[in-house]
Amino acid sequence: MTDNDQKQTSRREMLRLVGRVGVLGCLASLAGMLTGRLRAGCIEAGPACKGCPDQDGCDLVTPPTVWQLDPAKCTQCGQCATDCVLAQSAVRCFHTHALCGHCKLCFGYFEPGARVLSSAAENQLCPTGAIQRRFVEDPYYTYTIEKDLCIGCAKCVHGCGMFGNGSLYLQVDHELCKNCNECSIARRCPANAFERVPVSEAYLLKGQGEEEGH
Amino acid sequence: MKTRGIWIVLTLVAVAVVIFLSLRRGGPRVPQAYLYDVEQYREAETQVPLPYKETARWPLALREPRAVAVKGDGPVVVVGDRVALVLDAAGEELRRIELADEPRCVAVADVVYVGFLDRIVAYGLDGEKQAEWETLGEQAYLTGLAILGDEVFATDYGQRVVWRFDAEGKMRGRIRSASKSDGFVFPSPTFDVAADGDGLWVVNSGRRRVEQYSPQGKRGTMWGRSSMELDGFSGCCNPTHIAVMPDGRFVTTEKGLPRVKVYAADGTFAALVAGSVQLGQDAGLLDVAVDAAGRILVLDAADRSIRIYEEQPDDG
Repeated sequence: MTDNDQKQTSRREMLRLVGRVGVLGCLASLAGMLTGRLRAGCIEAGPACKGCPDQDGCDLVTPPTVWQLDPAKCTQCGQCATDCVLAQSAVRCFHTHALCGHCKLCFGYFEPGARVLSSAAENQLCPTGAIQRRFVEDPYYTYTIEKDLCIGCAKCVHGCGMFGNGSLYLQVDHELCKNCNECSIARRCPANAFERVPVSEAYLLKGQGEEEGH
Repeated sequence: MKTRGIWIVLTLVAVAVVIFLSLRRGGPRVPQAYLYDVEQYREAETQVPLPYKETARWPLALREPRAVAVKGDGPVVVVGDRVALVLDAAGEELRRIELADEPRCVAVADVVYVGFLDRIVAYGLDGEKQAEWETLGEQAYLTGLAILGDEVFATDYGQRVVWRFDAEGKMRGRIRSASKSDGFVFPSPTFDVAADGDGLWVVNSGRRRVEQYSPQGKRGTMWGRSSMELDGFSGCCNPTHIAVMPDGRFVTTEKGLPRVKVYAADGTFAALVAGSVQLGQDAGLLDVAVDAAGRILVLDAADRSIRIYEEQPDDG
């Protein structure tokens, strides 16, 4: 047997050793995970985890979090419309109807100083016409947000909060958000209004317990 | 040597481009079309004379002051948190009355009437509790009180009525909307009342006007128009509060663009007392009262103070 043969054998043995150690490590990790899962009584650990009452004692997984915008901190600067990585921002206007005054003269819908309270384009505040106004009974109207048209500029949110009841507000729409590790809107938000929230409480809605929706 | 010069120039150009791009990125990038702009209306406030001057400001040791009232040239009463503060004409605290609940509104004559969400409680000026009137029900949401003669009137946002009581708290009636098509509209709890020799002046804030009522509930005149201009009322629900001056003029306060204004007895705009420049854009609801000397007392809840405004002699 030459020196070269001895070297080849050593290399093979070394690879075999590394393989064994790897397999043993994997088995140990798997055993640990199963033990921990059983201990926590958790059957949903993993990416699908939405948190559970026992999550405080859970050392298996950190419940997933998502980006959300705190309406109480938002200053309606308009940057949500321009700073999202998506072509049309994932931040959209939400409306808590229970807080709405159903005003005929809605400052979230009409340009300040609008001469006529009609739905003509020149009277509307929204740059994309994303708010639908429907007559209920004199002098009350109902307002709904067309999600596909909303760009999250917060112009209506500003008007409603300043002159009305503040029933319009921005939220990150999780049907659209890519949940980037470093949210480009959050990074530039001048009010630090963005935060990570548990996916089980993904929305910070006004008027808790009341009907929400677009 | 020539090559080295080219490299220096290229380096300087690259640095300049990087600086330019970074500055450009840091500047305003939000299109004007996305911004809510009421600057022209704020600007209009600076174009008119201010015949009233803030002559004093009384800080209040209250977390959330709610309402203010004054008895002629007598004491001033401020309610908030769970207390009623009785102040003298210089703002010094005379008495502190502990309350059982969160107060919403107040009126004062020889008795201090404190309005809670669903009932009124009467206190002597010495702080003694005199009577607790019956509850007005689960839907009640009292927002304003006024005294006319020996009667007390209370505005109830929850039930959209003005309640009429005698001095002992016995209910004598209620004032409802004059008509369904032209009645009370309140998108938010801004429903105030004041009284003078002409009867009651009720704020119908959703229609952005002030309406006169007899104590029996018959509607008389009304004034006020919906407009972003200085002489009108803007927003969903303005004016928010009203007080009557000794000479019959009115003082109103507004939210949105915070404003304190004086209107003549016939409802025509007379003067801007203070606007968003003086009060700050974040001023909340501003309750108002006027003493016998014509001093305007504005309760600034955001600043937790009472601002005193006095008319300045006309130099002309």
